[in-house]
Amino acid sequence: MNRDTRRSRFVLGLLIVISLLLITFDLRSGSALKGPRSIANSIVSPLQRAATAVSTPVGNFFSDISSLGSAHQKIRNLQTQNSKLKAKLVDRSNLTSQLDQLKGVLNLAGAGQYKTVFGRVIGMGSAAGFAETITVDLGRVDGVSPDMTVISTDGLVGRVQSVEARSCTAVLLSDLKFKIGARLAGSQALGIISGEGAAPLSLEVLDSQVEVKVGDQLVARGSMGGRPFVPGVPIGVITQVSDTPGALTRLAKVRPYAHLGTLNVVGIVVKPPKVDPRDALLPVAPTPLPTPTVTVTVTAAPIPSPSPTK
Amino acid sequence: MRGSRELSALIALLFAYVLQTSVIARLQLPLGGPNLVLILFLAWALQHEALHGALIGFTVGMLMDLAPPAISTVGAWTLVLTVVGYGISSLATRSQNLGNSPITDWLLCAVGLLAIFFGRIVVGAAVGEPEASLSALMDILAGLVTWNLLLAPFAIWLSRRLFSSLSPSAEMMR
Repeated sequence: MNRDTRRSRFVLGLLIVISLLLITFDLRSGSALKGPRSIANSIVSPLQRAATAVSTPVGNFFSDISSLGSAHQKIRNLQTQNSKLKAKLVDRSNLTSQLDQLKGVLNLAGAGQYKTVFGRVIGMGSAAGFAETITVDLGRVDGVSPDMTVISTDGLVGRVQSVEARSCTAVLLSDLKFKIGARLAGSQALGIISGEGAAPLSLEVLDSQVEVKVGDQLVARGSMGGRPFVPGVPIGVITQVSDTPGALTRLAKVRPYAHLGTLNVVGIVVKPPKVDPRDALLPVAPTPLPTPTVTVTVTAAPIPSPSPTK
Repeated sequence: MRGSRELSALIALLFAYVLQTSVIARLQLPLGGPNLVLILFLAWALQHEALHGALIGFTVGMLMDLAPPAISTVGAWTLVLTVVGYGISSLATRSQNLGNSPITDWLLCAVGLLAIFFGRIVVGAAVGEPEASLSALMDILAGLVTWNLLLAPFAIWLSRRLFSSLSPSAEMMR
């Protein structure tokens, strides 16, 4: 018994030392553990792919069944909501044009300036795993590399973290470690959005003088060279503003446009072929002219210009 | 005999991981849903002595650190689960000497989940992961505890059956 205890203590110590070494290696250079990672990936991701293919119809079936009872009530609610929204739409035609422009920006990212590849979500990390991440069935062979922007048809989804030959892992907007520079569509004020797990995103507006209100829309400010974030991608809408008098920054809650929970197909913005930096100032692709409706979001126009820089 | 037992345990673990990441996580259950891998790990740790508890924790931790869509620092989960596996296994062996009951197993699961939660936060802070806000952490804790404790008795029963059917001598050894 005593010898048993001593032996298991020894093994425990050994395993702890190994774990600490792994942590040290990983922290010192992110690439040291690439080998084991890609081995694990090549085993797990085909299984995930298969499991997704099998379970998607089943999952849909179950979600259909579970919503049967509430469907009637839901329809009524939707009808009420619909009429309300229609009234709102008439009142604020301005908003529609704004939305159209935002959508245009998104389409623009796909059609004109950036090349976007689309793939399926095959795996998802849960809150219980302390990481809100997804595996997408696009990899190096599709031209994906780390720090690319991940979008859905609704808006920003996240950022590519690591890439294997045929799959990649992306960090979602809602992950606790996620941070992105954002721009208020109206006032052009800058802010930082950070993920809060299951809770709505939080926004910190750097200038406390800026007026922030519920319903304000946020777009990605964009990073240098479009990595990790291409500019102009819609992020979300402000749902709640917390007013702390005297604070240096203003805080707000943001609901993301993309439905992060039910992601199925996502796009990854693959950069266009590199252009000589000398030609940075020359427009490679024709810059789309802003529409005549002069709303505040008209600054969407300068956004495409950084894209051809690289 | 032993080899086949370990192999089938590995396959079950892999199966649970894929089920978790490709099916459970996408169902969008309230509070994040259960974590099959962690329940399986605790159920196994309960049925082994300390040495094997640590080894099981190490294996499960490596999988959670390396397999997609993991992005955390490699070794973080491994460290936490190795220690928790060792602790839970030695506690379980001790309580079995006093007389085994499903309630103690279940309580040990709760202790294990709390240890995993706090251990992961401490290790996360040590390796420089950004701090999560308190409310986000509370959400994780609530989901982790409620869901997994609900499913724990079932997982314990299942893995006990799996192992006893594989090696009848295991029951006699106990």
